[in-house]
Amino acid sequence: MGPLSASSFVFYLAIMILIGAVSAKIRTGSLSDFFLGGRKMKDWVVALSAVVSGRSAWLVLGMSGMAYTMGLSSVWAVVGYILVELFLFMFMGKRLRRYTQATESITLPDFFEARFKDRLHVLRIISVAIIVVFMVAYVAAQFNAGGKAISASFGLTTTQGLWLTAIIVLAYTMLGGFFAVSITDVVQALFMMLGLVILPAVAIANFGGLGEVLEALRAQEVSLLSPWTIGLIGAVGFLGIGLGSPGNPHILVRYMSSESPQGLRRAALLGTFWNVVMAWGAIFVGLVGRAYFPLKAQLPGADTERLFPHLAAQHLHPVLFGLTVAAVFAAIMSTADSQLLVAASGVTRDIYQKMFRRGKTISERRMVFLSRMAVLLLTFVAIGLGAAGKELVFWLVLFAWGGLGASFGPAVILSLFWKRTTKWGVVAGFVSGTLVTVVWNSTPALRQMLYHLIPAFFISAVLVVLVSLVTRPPEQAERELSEIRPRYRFRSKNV
Amino acid sequence: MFSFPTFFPLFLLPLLIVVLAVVLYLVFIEDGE
Repeated sequence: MGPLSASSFVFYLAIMILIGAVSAKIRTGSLSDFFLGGRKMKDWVVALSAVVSGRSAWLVLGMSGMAYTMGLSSVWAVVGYILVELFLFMFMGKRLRRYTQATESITLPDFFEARFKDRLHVLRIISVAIIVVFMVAYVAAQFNAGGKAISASFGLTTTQGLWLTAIIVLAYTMLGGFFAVSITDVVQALFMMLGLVILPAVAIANFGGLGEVLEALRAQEVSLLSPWTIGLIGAVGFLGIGLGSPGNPHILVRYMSSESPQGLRRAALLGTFWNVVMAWGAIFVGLVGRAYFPLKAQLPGADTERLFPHLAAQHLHPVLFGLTVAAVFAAIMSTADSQLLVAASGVTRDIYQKMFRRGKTISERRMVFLSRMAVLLLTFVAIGLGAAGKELVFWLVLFAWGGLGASFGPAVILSLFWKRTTKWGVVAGFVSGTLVTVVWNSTPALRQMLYHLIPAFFISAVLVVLVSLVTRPPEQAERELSEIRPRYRFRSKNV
Repeated sequence: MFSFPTFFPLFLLPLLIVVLAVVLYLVFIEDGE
């Protein structure tokens, strides 16, 4: 990477740190500020923060690589999560936002405990254990990805790259908490959009236009231009990726942070638009990449996940190339920071404040200080895991998106929409979601048949329902859910 | 240049998703908004 590219990349990193420093003075006075932005985040911030927190390097590097290999069949991998997140913004997010404000819940375990009046902390203990383990592993994986990308772009070692990624994320997350993480997410969303629109546009134009690209693909393999080559089960498996979104706490807290529940309607529009453009940008990168490099061996290390930076280096001005490398980091950091903060909230809010020091008064200032220390501690745990336990991290991340989706997804949705849901139903959902994910993934025949999240999500949902039906529901559920139900204008008698 | 199997996933599908978002945005307005 030349000096111009390096300068534009350093410019991006400087913006991140600056946002952290400024945010530290704006909204970090209380625990709700530090972990939820004081529930005062604007619609457009929530929209962009929610979509980029959910899209890691998987979108920029993985998805473009998948489109390179599979062609148009890869679209099904993005359709599922975009539609599910539209539902979350539009319907579930509003209820979650209202309920968590009414009960002063800051974290997802807070929400479960409040919803089921769980004085024994059964739900808190199980959910915080799942969250901390999976989130820290997830952060470690993001740091590893950052390390690899830095080493590929700047000639540093992977370990040096890992440290650099971790220190930047640590700096702004520790300083500015949720506010900094959300505002950096907005900037990162802009960088990702820039990279995913400019690169395919320039590369396609340089090839002679989209018609030429498609002709080149047709000449290579006709099946690249059909979305049906993976078959129905393959398409359903891809669509099932979307079932992870309602259960991943680093995405859910975005909806909880909104300034107003009604604002999520506007966030739905912007978030969906952003999701669509980023996803199809990655798909176009894969398709045009395949036109340029018909053989995998033509890519660095024969690795399809290196297509994006490789294509950018060949087609973009050095400044723009630096910015597209920044887009890869934006994808990595916007996910890592949100996950780090959620894991830290599990330690300070759920374990320390709500269990060890229950009933004792601790000043907000002290809690914010402890939260910053938790961010610091967990960053080092993630660095250690990322550096030393690569296999463990790979194993945990394999289960993370699906495991969290299956364990929490049905439980959260049913808790918000079905008054009959009970505490033990939710416990059954947590346990079965995690167990089916692990068993399915560990059984080669099952793994090859269908993506684990689909059976795990449905079995978890069925068990939440069945166990709820045979146990006693919380008494106030009907009233509470009626209070958070949105009243739509088209149902109003006055219209 | 574009057969339906190509046109659908490349252009129509993303457009349909955005249209769905716009329709939901226009329909699900809460009382008092």
